[in-house]
Amino acid sequence: MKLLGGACLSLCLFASVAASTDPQPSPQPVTPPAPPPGETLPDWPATPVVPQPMPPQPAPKAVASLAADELYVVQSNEDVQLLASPPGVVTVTKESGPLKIRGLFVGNKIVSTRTYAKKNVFIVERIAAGDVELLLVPAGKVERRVVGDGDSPVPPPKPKPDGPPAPKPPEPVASFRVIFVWESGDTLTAAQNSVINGVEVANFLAAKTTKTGTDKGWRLKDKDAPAAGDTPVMNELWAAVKAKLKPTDVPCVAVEVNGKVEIIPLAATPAEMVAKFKTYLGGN
Amino acid sequence: MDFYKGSIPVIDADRPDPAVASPDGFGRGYVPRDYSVDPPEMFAPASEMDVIPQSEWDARYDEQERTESSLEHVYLRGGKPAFVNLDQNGDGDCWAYSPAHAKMLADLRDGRPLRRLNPHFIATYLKRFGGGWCGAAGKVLNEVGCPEEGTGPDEWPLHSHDTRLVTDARLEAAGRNRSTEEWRDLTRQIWDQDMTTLQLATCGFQNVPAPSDFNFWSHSVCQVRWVRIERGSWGPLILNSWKGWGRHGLAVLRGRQAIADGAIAIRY
Repeated sequence: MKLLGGACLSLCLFASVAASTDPQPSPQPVTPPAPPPGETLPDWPATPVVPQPMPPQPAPKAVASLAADELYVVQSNEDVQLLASPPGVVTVTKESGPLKIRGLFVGNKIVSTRTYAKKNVFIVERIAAGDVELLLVPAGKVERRVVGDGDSPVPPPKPKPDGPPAPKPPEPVASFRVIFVWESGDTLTAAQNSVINGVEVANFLAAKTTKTGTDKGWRLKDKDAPAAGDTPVMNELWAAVKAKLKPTDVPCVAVEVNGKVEIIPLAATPAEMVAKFKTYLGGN
Repeated sequence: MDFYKGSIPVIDADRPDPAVASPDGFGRGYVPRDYSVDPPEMFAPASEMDVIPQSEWDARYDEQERTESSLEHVYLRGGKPAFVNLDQNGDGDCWAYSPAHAKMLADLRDGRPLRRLNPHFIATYLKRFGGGWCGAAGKVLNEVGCPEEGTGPDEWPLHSHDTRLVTDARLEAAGRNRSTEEWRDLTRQIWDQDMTTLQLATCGFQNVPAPSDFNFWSHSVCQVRWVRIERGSWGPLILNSWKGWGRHGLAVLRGRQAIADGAIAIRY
């Protein structure tokens, strides 16, 4: 029901803004009317705004960056009004010209005094962070509505083109190898021996580690074992492990996934060790 | 005849049954160590080993059984042996086969490619055909290595003692199977038999295979594990180099003579 109400309000607002004058005499354009020869209306303080050609209507451009202590001033001889959307970001103060204003004007780095000669002068000042759109429209009745999103699901915002890249999906596991590292001169505890040599871990490693031909994808190595005397793949991996290994790590486990090596502690039980290995395989 | 776990024969080392311990047609070849040739300092001592006291043996053994984490379990994983035990074929090369078995068991434990070694090469390399002790062969495994069994130019033919086959190609192949780990001397000292027992038990609980020589048997075999035969009775589970013997080559020794007289262990 809320969704339907919201949709209805949107339609009503569209009718109010886009066709509010019908059947009143000649609809008023939203954009300022073309100025008479020799006169420029209105006077936007920043020059980049040149709303030509008219059709198709371009999306509003960010014309300036307004800091909290700056003034953004618009003047016009026409009977116009300046609206800000969304509300709450800036204040708009309407003054009658001609008028002298001293302050820090947008785009300037120093305080200065400017004279605004036209009939209507609008002073815009920031009161909150965020972008705001300024609409200079002919004076008159303007109905404004804020359309809330209610409780309906909101689609996720589209990523900004220049925003941070979206996180990459997990990389498929192309290689998964394990080396248990121990000091064979030390006496392992019964629990450590169960993790390293127990059937639960052994079966998991036999099924999940990456074989090279018929060669297993796991090893048990003494921390001082040379990076030679094994298969080329394991020699290379062991060299990478030894480069990262600290003596205080032992006993420990080296896990290789897609060529990247991580040294992790030996788990307390075989089940915990297998659970830890599964985290490298997406839980499988 | 008693059996460990119902199928592995238990040999009483104090009163060995000849039908089991010395059947016809099976060679042995252990000759006690000659210290003038192989002095004590040839291997690292075991004195620094942090031994597991007997008070912990039951808990250790039970944990290994529960998690199937002993070297016995590794060797028999999946209900069959990881390899068929080596066969010395009646020759007196047991002392070379026990370290070769140790090397293969260590490779199995460590996940390395399993290569079937031919220890006849070791006896031939040393030209030692009248027997020896396990340490002499362990030294060759460390320094030279051992080629694989086979008929190729870099392999050693089964049961061959032909010294003409010691070629550069075979020596190079042997080097690929060198034991890179240090061997540690567990040889029993007359004055400290209890320490040797603790060291052998520790190797067993740590899955460290230990070539072991037995005077009572005149034989050298590889200790695989330290097992509880029955409550309060412990002994080594050994892998023999006799074809078709025991349970996949396995047997258990018990009794006072079941403590090895000469033994080495990789890295212990």
